[in-house]
Amino acid sequence: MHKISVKNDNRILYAEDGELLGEVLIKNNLKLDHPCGGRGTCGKCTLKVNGKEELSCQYVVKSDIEIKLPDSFDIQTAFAGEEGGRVTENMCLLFDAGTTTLVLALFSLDDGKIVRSITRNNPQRAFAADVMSRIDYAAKNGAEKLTEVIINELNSMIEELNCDNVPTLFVAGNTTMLHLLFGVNPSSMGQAPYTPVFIDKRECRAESLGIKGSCSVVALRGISAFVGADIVAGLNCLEADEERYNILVDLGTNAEVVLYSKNKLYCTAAAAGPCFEGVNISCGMSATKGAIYSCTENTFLTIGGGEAKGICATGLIDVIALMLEGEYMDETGFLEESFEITDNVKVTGEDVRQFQLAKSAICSAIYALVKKAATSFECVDKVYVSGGFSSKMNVGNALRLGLLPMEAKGKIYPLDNSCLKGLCEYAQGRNSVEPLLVNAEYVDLAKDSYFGEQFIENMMF
Amino acid sequence: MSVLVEISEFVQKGRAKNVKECVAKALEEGVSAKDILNEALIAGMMIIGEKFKNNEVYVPEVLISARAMNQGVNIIKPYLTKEGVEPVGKAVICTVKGDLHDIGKNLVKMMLEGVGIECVDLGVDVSSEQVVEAVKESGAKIVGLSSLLTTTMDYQKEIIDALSVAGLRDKVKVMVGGAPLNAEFAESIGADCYTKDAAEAAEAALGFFKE
Ligand code: B12
Repeated sequence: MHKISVKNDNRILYAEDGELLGEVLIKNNLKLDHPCGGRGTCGKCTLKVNGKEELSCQYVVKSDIEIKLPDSFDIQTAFAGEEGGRVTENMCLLFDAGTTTLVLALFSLDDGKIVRSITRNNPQRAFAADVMSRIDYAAKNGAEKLTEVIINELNSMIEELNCDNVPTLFVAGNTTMLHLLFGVNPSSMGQAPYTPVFIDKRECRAESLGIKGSCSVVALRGISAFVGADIVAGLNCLEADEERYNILVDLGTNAEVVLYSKNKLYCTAAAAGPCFEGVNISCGMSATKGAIYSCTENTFLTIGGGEAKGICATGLIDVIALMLEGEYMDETGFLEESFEITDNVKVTGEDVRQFQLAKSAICSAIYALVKKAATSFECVDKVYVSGGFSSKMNVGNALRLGLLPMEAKGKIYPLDNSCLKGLCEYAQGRNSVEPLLVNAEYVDLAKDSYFGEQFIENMMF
Repeated sequence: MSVLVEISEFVQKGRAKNVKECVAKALEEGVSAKDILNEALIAGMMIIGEKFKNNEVYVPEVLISARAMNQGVNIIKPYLTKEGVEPVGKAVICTVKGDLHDIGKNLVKMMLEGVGIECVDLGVDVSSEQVVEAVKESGAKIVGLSSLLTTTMDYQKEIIDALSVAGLRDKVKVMVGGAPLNAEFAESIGADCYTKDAAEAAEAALGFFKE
């Protein structure tokens, strides 16, 4: 653990050895803009480390340091209410209940800002990694245990934020996560036709769920078993047009896709699978220390700057793009032998096949919705891309590999935690998503022959 | 190049139109439908299957090759009947109840057809009653079950149990597959065979008919 002294206001932050300074700042709500997605190319996140100019997105913390944020950075607002700040009546809690990570934020309604927040691993992972396996676990063993661990974790987070006296806790998460939070067994979503027990907005007292304090709990509504309240929350912070369409695509395991205007909303889940989290990829790993996250012809970068231990989603995209460009792999995804990045880290033929399934599922789902809406990409203004790695991904490579449709070129907008942002809006009484949901239609890709054709076709590069 | 080799190569390349032309030409030249089937169409599909197994080709190529092969088979069907050529055997295949994933199942079906096995495809979301019924009706010797979800793989056991109850368990070999499965699971539910991919499934199925 290293100490980072912030010169601007004598605050101390802490970092793990090898952590990226940029990541540490984000965790502490001190996000410096980096339009380049943290690739070290735009220079926007420059700050002074021990008196020397450095890029925070590239700087690896290896010792105690002193930093000075640029003068233009409004540190007062960023830190408003921190620590000493009293928790007032006019604050609320926002809870993003993700399958992998849980985020709890204390939000001030006075100035519309997040006061402080914490991120934890979802303890349900110890029981089963993905949503479907958790549903399976609940079907076989009951939901009680899964409910218990998440409520306990939430209580411990509330304790850490020291804010058990706020009046309201707003929650969003996928449909399964919300079932488990409310103690409802999600097993009916394990089999077609995947029927949730509840999908509407749900409100109750914290006490009735075993949650600390005496606030009311408000969970946003979802749309279907696999397009949940997290996506609804995400939409709540995005623009919508009367006629023209925007798209939201979440690059995660379930890969939800939404195509919407103010008049009509189509949504689905592309079920890409866990390959972007490094699962089923021979040297795959999540975006943690030692993961290759970026790769060009001559060099590669690892998170934390140390030795390469494996490869995460953004790195995999770069490497496969390189293989294609250098004709190491042909457009069918065939390669003679594994592509070695280092002695220990390589990309195999089988890895490429896994990637092909995932990227084609996502891209084809987008095409299927565009077709369902009887529209074309000319009528699509923005393609918002959310999901853990979207803001760090090389968009050009993602387009070239067909993870996203080429037609979306120039229209792609990476998002950070859109679920949390949408919850912020919601807490302030802004619920722009509600009218969109009136005409929401879930598209079942399993019965969509156009998706079927596209899925096969788009496996190629 | 002999016309049979030519057909086989067009099957591998997935050129349906050329396959049809060459099959017609072969028939005109007096080649027997049986030889066209075994030495050209099936031979070509087997090579694709092998390449699929070795990761040299993937789902799209297998599908177009299978389509090309099928078009060839359609042309020679009447001739096969005339020559009295019987299919290697019959298999009932489906994706089990609660599951709508069918791409893997379809590939397995095509590969089985690619080695000359006739398939009764029950589609997706199929109940144990439907399987039992289809086995009775078709007299199939093989039942192939596919599941892609952790939550539906247990239903394979229900189907196997239903076959036992119906007194059909000894009359069929049950093959199971799908991404979340493995050999231990297959054994635990009393299946006869699990394979990782469609090409191996076809080999294993052929093996059962030769027994
Ligand atoms: C394509 C796909 C879909 C398509 C299905 C289209 C279709 N007509 O089949 C769509 C988008 C509709 C879909 C939907 C869903 N999917 Co889906 N889907 C996938 C995906 C991307 C690829 C599956 C695939 O086709 N693989 C290619 C084929 C060729 O491989 P295969 O099926 O494994 O088959 C091979 C072998 O297993 C074997 N085999 C297969 N069957 C048999 C049978 C026998 C007898 C034998 C011997 C061998 C054998 O041979 C085959 C060829 O070699 C996977 C993720 C991934 N990357 O793998 C998720 C995945 C399977 N889906 C998943 C889920 C959960 C769903 C949903 C239920 C929820 C969702 N949206 O996320 C929905 C609803 C399902 C529905 N409506 O039925 C999960 C399952 C997770 C789990 N732990 O169970 C996965 C892993 C993705 C994820 N979210 O993690 N999906």
